Amino acid sequence: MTTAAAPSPTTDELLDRVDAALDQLGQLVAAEGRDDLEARVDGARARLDRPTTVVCVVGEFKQGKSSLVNALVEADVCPVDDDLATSAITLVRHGDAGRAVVRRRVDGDAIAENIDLADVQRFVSEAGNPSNEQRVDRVDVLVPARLLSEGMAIADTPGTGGIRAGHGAATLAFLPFADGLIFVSDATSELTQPELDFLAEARSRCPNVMLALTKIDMAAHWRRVADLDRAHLVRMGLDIPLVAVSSLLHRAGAEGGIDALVAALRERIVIPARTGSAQRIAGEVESLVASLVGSLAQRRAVLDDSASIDELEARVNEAVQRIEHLRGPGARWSITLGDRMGDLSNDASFAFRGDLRELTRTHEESIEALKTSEQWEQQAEQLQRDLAGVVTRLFEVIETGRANIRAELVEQLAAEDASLGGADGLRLRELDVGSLWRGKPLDTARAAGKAVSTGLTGLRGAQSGIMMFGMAGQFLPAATATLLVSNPVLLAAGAVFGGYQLVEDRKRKVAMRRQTARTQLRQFVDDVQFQVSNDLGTLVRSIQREFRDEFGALLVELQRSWAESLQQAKQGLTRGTEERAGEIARLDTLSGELRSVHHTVAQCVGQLAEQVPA
Amino acid sequence: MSIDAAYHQLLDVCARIESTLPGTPHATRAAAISARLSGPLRVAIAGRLKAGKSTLLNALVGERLAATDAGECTQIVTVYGRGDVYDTRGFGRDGAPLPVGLRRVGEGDDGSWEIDLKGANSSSFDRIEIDWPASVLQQLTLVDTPGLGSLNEAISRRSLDFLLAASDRESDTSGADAVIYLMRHLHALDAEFLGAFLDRRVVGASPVNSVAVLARPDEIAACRDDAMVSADRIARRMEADPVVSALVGSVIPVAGLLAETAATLREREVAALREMAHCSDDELAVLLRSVDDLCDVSRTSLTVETRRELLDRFGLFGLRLAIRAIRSDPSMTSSDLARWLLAHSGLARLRNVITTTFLPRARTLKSHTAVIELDALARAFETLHPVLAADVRRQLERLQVEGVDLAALTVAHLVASGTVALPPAHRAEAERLLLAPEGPMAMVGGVVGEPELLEAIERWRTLGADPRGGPLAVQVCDTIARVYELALAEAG
Repeated sequence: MTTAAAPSPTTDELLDRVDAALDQLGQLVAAEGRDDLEARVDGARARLDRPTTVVCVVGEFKQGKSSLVNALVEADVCPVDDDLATSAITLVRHGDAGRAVVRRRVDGDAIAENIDLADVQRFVSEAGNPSNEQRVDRVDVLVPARLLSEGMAIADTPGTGGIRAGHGAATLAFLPFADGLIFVSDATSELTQPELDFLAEARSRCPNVMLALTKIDMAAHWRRVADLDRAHLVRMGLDIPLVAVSSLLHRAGAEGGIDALVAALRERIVIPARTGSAQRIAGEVESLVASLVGSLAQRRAVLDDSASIDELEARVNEAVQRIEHLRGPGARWSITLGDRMGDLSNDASFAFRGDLRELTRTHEESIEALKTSEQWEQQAEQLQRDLAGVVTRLFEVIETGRANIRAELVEQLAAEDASLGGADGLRLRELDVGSLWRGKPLDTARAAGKAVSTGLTGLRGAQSGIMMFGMAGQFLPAATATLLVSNPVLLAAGAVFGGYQLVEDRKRKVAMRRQTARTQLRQFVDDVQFQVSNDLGTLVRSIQREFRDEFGALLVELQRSWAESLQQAKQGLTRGTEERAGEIARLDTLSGELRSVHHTVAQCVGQLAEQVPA
Repeated sequence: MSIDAAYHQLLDVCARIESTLPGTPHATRAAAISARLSGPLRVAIAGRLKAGKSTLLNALVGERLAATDAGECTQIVTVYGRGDVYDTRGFGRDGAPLPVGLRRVGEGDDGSWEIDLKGANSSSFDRIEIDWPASVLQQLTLVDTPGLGSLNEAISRRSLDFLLAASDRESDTSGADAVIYLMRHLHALDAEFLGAFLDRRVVGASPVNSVAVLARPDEIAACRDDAMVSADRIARRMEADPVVSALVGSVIPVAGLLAETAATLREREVAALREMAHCSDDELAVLLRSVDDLCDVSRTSLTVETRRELLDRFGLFGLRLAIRAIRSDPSMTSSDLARWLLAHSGLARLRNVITTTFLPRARTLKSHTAVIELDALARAFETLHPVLAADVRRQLERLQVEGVDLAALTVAHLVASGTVALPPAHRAEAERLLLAPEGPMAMVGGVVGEPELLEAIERWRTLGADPRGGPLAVQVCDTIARVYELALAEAG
């Protein structure tokens, strides 16, 4: 890629240049007294420096997941024990001081409470919270770690004996929304078939899957195992890099391969996310600069020819009125928004209910054929996977619908032509409303809006991602608990189906147990439907509110641009000829600077696009 | 009928099948069942892939017979029996003999053994039988099985096929009378392990004839010095779990590699250890920090190859342990060290369980297996010789009813595995009675008087008459009542 004459700048350098340009832009708009625009620029910078990305750490039980997370963030945030394992999801994020928030259900209500870092183990470990009896959805831990300072959040998940059941299924369901996955398998033995199956499925849903081979400090033949694992991955046709690590050596200050993993995470996840942000920000900078330059041109025109002030005043009044209408409830876009959201909500929940009904029917049929406990266990796993699939599909529908609605609104508003006029005039173009992320909790539904996209890749970084993660964590382990562990009826049913006795002479009992299983199945699906429908309602309302806020704020901004250009034009008229000439020169310089900022950003983003294939 | 009488009747049944259907595969199968009945108890070592099954087998035999490797290794079911000289026999999927050899790898006392398949593909083998002059094999026939959850479905299948009850099996290879399950650390509430680790379809596996080994316990605690203490705590917690206790009698942590090395320790290795022990504290701390540090070219006067060999033989935990032992007592001889390592491996406890719970009821366990196998065999030649088949099955039924030890064993499986749920008080009594290693009769005999016996008979008959219980519950209650009746008859 590099030419001999001028080595092309690195991705990091380009991102730094975009950052510097945004800094300059922020100063320029601040000097003009446009604090509203300054806030937008600041928001864009924050997203460039710290795009939100989520990386899941998954693996079978007791492979060293929590130790690895601790090594990655250089702090003892996830409890580690020889025997007792992680029982709830921990989301480790960047925060200035070490603190934690536990989100759990008390009598069906979701609550969030601040806890001490030392108390985390009371909620996420088998010791304090066996089988997640405290109904912890997840615990957010905030630590000032270098790796996390660029916006990455790491999710430590409970391991399962069967990687494709329980949390494994939950994580698979979440993967379309995640930016990366670190699969943990220790170096004491090679990958098993279930692990490889999981990796294959994960790889098909998420481009950034890495295999961390842990415990290389004590596994005498870790190089051999690493070679075997690589061979297995090649055999399965999986393009998954393997990184050998020792959390223990790393924490003892020796080279434990963790640095290589951190570098890989940065390169494969953080940098692409920042590049993506930069690309979206470029569009925003363009519209912002165009709006400002347009407004400056109006003022300059009046300074040049004082007679044009009347014409300007008339146009401003007309525009302000039109925007006033657009801000009102009767505006076409506002009605469209209401209609479309209603349709989306209906369509999504209709499809969801249909899927659930189909799922119930299929599983009831399977129950009829159940004979042994193994079959029942397999079916319970299948049920979890199917449910995870149904819930994921629901979120895909919502996410795609959301993007479509947004595109339609942008088009409608653009057609309203509320611009400042002229070739440079503002069009309501693709704005990156992700600025609203800043200062907001990670999981409040907020957009990192983007153009209409198809396929799963479009979901990454999408607003419902974190929510989906919470949901996945909330339902699927619950499914395990309900169906496999804490439900004595079904376990008993399993025992009856199984054993080494033939079941023919016990038909009546088997029929009875099957009936119980069916009842339990329905009850469970019912519970999921109730919870998901609830969350669906909340999500749809929040999307609607978010669009209303986003476009409302934009309209206010426009209105202010118009009003201020008129006011400042009037002020300009009160000045003397010499002063006017100075002001004209200043406006020209400012316009030039703004254009130059825009040019820099556009150029950098162009080069970034060349480096990272979309 | 005593278990000895039942045992002889079973031998007679085998002989009758052999003489009535000479030259048929059925006769061969009957001969095999008969040979197994009169041979030692068969103990299968089963478990998930890479749990250390072959290593444990070597430790029990005291010789590196079964090949061990970092990758998946055992691919054929291998039966280790006692012989005056060593001998190997291979059997194909169709039961026909296949040529195999046993080859010594390495020189002098450094060697281990490797099975030579003479160019044949491992998948064409049903099993390999190896005779070896080791004293432990006099009492036990040990069976090494390929790992469950293997990357190669067919290999896992072979293990299951072997371990499955005769009636469920495709091939006619003999199963096992007792099982040692190796499991690595597992989640108490992880229902998955029911299927993956402790397969309930395995031949009558219940606390009566199964023991679990917590394998590679040193790795659980990152090879820390207190690893075995930590492993012990984990094993006790697992034992207390009802899901586990329904499947195995006890959970014992055994560091297989340590035990294997202790059983086959060489002077050369001890010398190398001594040399290593001369390093300063600081040097040792760095050297034993990780496997890569240990094999670092720049360290100690020992060659990298020597250190790599030591690592292979001891593991990081074993090396730390051995160095600590030598440093604390430099006068230690090789045999002292071997004993000391063996004591730390936990193998003695496993041996103890085998001696106190498996061996005393060996004849009952073997007869139990034979009944299941003969029943399957009778079904197999039903069309060929219906009269004999009906006769054999009638005799088997009578044996199961009259042979109270045999009946009690079947019932013990049902109760201990939780297949038949009894009221708690009854369950405790039933388990005390049925799981007594010397047999239920010994447990009852002389302990209680006539009125108590009468009361017990009445109590179990009443429970058995409860219409809510299924046919299995009836079987359990009837058998226990009959144990008391027999005791009453003997007392009277």
